[in-house]
Amino acid sequence: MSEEIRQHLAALTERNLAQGMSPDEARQAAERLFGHVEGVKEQCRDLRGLPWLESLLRDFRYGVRLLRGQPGFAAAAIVTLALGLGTSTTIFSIVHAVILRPLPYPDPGRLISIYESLPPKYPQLPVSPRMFLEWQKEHASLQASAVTEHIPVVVTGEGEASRAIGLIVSEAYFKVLGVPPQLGRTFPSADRDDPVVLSHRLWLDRFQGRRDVIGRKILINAHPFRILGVMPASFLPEEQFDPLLFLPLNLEPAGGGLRSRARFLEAIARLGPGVTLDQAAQALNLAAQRRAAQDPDTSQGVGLRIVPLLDTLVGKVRPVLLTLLGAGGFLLLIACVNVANLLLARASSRQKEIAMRSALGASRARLVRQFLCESLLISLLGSAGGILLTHGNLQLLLRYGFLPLPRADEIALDGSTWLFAGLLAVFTGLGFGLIPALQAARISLPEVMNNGGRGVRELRRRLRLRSALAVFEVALALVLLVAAGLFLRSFRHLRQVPVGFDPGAGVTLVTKAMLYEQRYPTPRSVLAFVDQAAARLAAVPGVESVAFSTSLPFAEMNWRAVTIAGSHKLRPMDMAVVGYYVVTPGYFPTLRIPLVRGRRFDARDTAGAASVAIVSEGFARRYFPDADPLGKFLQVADSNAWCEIVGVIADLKERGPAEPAGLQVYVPYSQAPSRFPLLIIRLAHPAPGLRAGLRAALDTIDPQVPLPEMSTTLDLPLHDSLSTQRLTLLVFAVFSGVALVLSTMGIYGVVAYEVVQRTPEIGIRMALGARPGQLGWLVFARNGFTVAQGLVIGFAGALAAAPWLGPLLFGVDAADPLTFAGALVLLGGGAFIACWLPSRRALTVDPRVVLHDE
Amino acid sequence: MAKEKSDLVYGTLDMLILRALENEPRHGLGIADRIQQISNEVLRVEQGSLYPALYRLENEGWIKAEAGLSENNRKARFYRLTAAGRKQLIVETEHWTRIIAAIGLVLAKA
Repeated sequence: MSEEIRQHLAALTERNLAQGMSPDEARQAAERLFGHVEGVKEQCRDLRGLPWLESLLRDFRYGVRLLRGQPGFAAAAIVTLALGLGTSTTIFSIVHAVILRPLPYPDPGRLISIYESLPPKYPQLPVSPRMFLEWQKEHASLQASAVTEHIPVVVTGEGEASRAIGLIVSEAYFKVLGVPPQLGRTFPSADRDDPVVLSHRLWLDRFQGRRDVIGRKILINAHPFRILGVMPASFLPEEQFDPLLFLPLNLEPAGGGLRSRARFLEAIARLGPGVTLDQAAQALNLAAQRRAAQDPDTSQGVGLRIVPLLDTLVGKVRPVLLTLLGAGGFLLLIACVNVANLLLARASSRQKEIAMRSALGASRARLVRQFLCESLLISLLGSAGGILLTHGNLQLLLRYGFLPLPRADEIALDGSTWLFAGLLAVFTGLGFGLIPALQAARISLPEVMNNGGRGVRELRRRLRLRSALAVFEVALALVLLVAAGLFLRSFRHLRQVPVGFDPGAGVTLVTKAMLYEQRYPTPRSVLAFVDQAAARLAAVPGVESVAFSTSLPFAEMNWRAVTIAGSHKLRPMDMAVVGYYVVTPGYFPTLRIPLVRGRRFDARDTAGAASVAIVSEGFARRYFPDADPLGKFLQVADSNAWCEIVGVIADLKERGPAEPAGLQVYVPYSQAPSRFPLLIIRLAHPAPGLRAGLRAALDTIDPQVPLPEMSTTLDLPLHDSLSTQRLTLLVFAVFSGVALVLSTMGIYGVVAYEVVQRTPEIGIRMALGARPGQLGWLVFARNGFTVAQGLVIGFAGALAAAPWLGPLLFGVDAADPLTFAGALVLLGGGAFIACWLPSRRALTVDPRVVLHDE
Repeated sequence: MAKEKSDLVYGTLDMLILRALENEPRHGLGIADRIQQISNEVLRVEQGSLYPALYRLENEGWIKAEAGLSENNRKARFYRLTAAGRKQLIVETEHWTRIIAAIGLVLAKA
């Protein structure tokens, strides 16, 4: 456009030159003829360009200048918003990765888990091989289904022996998940050799990612397997400790053994195209009914329950995460209210400017737009700070293990998080900016021009609005504080719940031993090692007691179906799964689980002696409510021996302090030796150089038995079992702390503002004889009332939140009076101090100065 | 020639531009020259005000700009009348004729 106009002028000038003018004259004449060049350009721009965009940019530039001119205000607003936006975005990125994002499999919405179910007591049980085979006859509703179980294995052949988790999967497992291998093939395989599929991690660890592994043999538990394929890294991202390998599961169709009826398999399936959950559930329950008819002893009344796979993985943490998201929203609202209050205060000091602009012809819409631009600018800057904060938060939370969530490895500052942060910034910018903008633009021109905007009516209106915002803020902060208090009390209860053993912080050590088959081919040799090692390790200085066990509460759980002798008719739940512990005699003293009746295991219980077992109190109560359990017999699913019950021992809360105690059955190590024991050591006192001593003791027996670096303690798994609650507590503690500070600051600001605005009035009243104390009290009482209103509303709000908070609490009522009182005192105290401090400034008003100014 | 009031009657510039483009595409200066020429040098366009009008007409879809070379081989934007513009010219011309006739009547009878 400029080019065209320049050309036009040049042509006119040329024409004038041709008529004999001097160059200067020619140019001037051309410009005279053309008119006002810049004016024309401006008109053209308005016509063809994007005038609103340009004036928007002007508004933004103006906003930047204003913020620069008031760095204190800018910093306060931006930091407050960055806090609010950063926390919300952090929580969102966690929630998104864990419960919103679909699972990383093709068409993940059709993936389900299947459980056996006997409501109301056992809504979700693992499935038995027989049940699985039965429902496989219902092909129509399921495209494919598979069952899995996992066992610890030792991988040898080529390189050092290493531990792995063997995931034993039925044929269609890979078809259900729909993920092709990175290399080679997956099951089913017609191979006559036993095939194995490696996880990506195991492939990297053991084979350094070499592509020629397909078809090679490895030894798994000393048995040769041929490598069929390697899965990609994205497959089963939840694997955390030992690497996985996949082994084929062979189910004998007509097996009559106890194992074929025992419930120990995890089942997954893919719904057929167009099949709904309900339709699939109906079809599966036909299978369950057939099972009940075939085998009423074990399956009467047992149904099949379908759960979307995503729910299976994250269903437990969903309510917690949504609560955290809600808390983030509250904090963001508080931050917004604070910034809105700051903006209101600033707007009233800008009345003259606004009046000037509107006198010069700025429309109301134009003024509102300019204010909104300024608040958007603040929210965008705040959002940038929020993104930085989110990045830092996630790093910290992940590094220090505060995110003990399924799919935690998928948490990242990704595109959706950016999008969320951007949208949130725009919405909050409009949200907190709109009230001050409308307020500012509603200016009454004559009033401002006449008395500098100190009209009483105007002041009243502003004060009312700011008080309303303060009420809202106090109410939100109280809800957060109450919730934080409830979670704190709940967590303390959880920590104090006796779990049935003494976790002995700092004086226990748990590590995994590994006796692989070539060196320890027979149960007898395994047992000989365990006996010797227990004795030698117990003699190491500092060691109080030593135990070997296959299981550990909270950490390594093994479940078995158990049958009771003498109950000729097995009710389904006689097959219930119990916690199964194979332990050496040192186990009970090492964990300090008290004996209730009978005896512990001791030297009598050798491999050849009569089989014995110890049961938990809960087990005894359930199965022998009226009889003495001692001398009764039970049978564990994978053994044929009937064990005599020789002792009853205290219950363990092995699933977590908040869960009811489970049932436990213990058998002596000598009668069911395992190659994968946990070595559990209790020390008399913390001993730093312990590992060397333990290694030396083991060396005297077998230097080749590894003593893994990776060790834990008895209390660590217990600690970990509370990690979701710890995360909740942490988040609420931080949020409510920030909310407390923000709302106190907000109230301080409101009151201080009121004192400044009312200084003339106060001065005049003083001149008329009012006592300073009276006036201070006037301001304090008005704002104290505001705070009290906020507290009342917040109190009601916190009570109303009880249905959401209740299920997340343990041992404390969601309407716990002590917590409510504590939160009221804390927030009320802070808020009243925040009212009182600026109220006192009213006392220092000097009437002479005021009257002089007026 | 005595200098008459050269101001255009308000609201007629669009019509004059359309008329100037009726026979052939022209660039900005060409349009100004043409208006001056047809009006026997009576109507002098303040040439700057042409451009906002040109953009407006272009937005309406009555004229269309295209690149071309001016008589002295400079690059210039040429404006061409579109079919819609031609219709618009007829409409405006009729409207204008009616107004002029009406004003003539008023002046004659007064």
